[in-house]
Parts: sequence; structure tokens; C-alpha cells
Amino acid sequence: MSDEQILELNKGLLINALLTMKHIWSPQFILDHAGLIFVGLEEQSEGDKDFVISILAYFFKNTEITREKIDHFMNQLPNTLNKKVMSTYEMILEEGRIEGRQEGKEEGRIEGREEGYEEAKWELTLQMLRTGYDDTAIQSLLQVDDDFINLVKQQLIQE
Amino acid sequence: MSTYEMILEEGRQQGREKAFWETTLHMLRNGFDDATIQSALKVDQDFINLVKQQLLQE
Repeated sequence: MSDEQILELNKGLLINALLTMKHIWSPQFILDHAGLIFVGLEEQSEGDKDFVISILAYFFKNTEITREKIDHFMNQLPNTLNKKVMSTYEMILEEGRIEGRQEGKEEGRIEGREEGYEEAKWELTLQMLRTGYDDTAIQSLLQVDDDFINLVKQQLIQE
Repeated sequence: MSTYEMILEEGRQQGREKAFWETTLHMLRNGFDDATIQSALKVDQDFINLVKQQLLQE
């Protein structure tokens, strides 16, 4: 369906939704044609405007756009809408920041666990070698391989 | 210490705990007595008792 055919439907919300979905994979097109896609917004009710904001929230969540481009895009929207859209955009950004922080925390925890596990295995191998356990017993009890034990032995020699 | 370093340290403690726990469990399953485990791993009796509780629940 061409953009013109969709526009002929003359139904504001339908036009807004269909054109956004049609061009969702070409975010630049949406950003450059806010006037074409988001037509008839002034006459829409508050409920309809909320629907448009949901469409835009979907668009923002699924595309990577620079702040500068977003600002330019907002300026093309009617004043009655762009404040709400902006706060929705800020909310999405904040959600992303929180998610990023949580992912960072989880990654840090996993990295720490691996380091701690390895450190403890090293320490235990060292202790068992000092106590007089042989390589076979250490391998079996600590589930470590020969190369690992030899590395620990090198440290023991250097002491 | 930054937040990231604190999180890393928290993970490190968990990793250490896991290694000690697994090894103690393995030694108990293989019939080692508490004194031997204490001497080999430098863990205390309370820790061994906690691991034993898990062993009993299995």
C-alpha cells in the first residue's frame, strides 16, 4: 500500500499507526516525515494522543536514534503533543539506564564469582600441597588438572 | 571503593565460598573425616556442619 493510499483513509490514528509500522525499519524516514506520518494530531482527543504516544514509545524503544535527531523530530510535532512525547522519551532513556546498570552489576558479580572461585582453588591447591597431598589426590578432590597443579607448584618453589 | 569494585568483591566472596563448599562436600562424600578436612582446607567446624546439612538433605 502506498503512503498516498494510506493517507486517503483519512483516519488520523489509523494513518499514524500504519505509517509508523510501515516505516519502522527506516527510522530516518519517520524522523524526516513527522508531518506526513503524524497528521491530524491537533484535532485528536486526549485518548487518541495517548495512543500516538504509545506508537512513538514503541518506535523509540526499537530504534537507536541520537538525541539531536529526537529533538529535531519533536520540534515537528504539535506543541500539545511534544511535551508528553519528550517525557515518554526521557522515561524510556531512564529505563535503559537502569537496565544497563543492572546488567553491569550482574556482569561484575559473575566476573567476581569466577575470579573468587579460581583464587580459592589456587589457595586450596597450595594448602593441600603444603600439607603433603599428592597430585592425584588434589586432582580428585579439587577437580583441577595437572597444568593447574604445576602452576601452583611453581609458586611454591619461588616461596 | 567504587560500586563496581564492591560488586566485584561480593562476587569474589561468593566464588570463594562456592569453591570451599564444593570441595568440602566432595571430601565428605569420599569419606574424609572432619579433622582431615579442617586441616587440608583450613575451614572451621561450623562450615563443615553446614555442608553436612546439605549432604543429609540429598
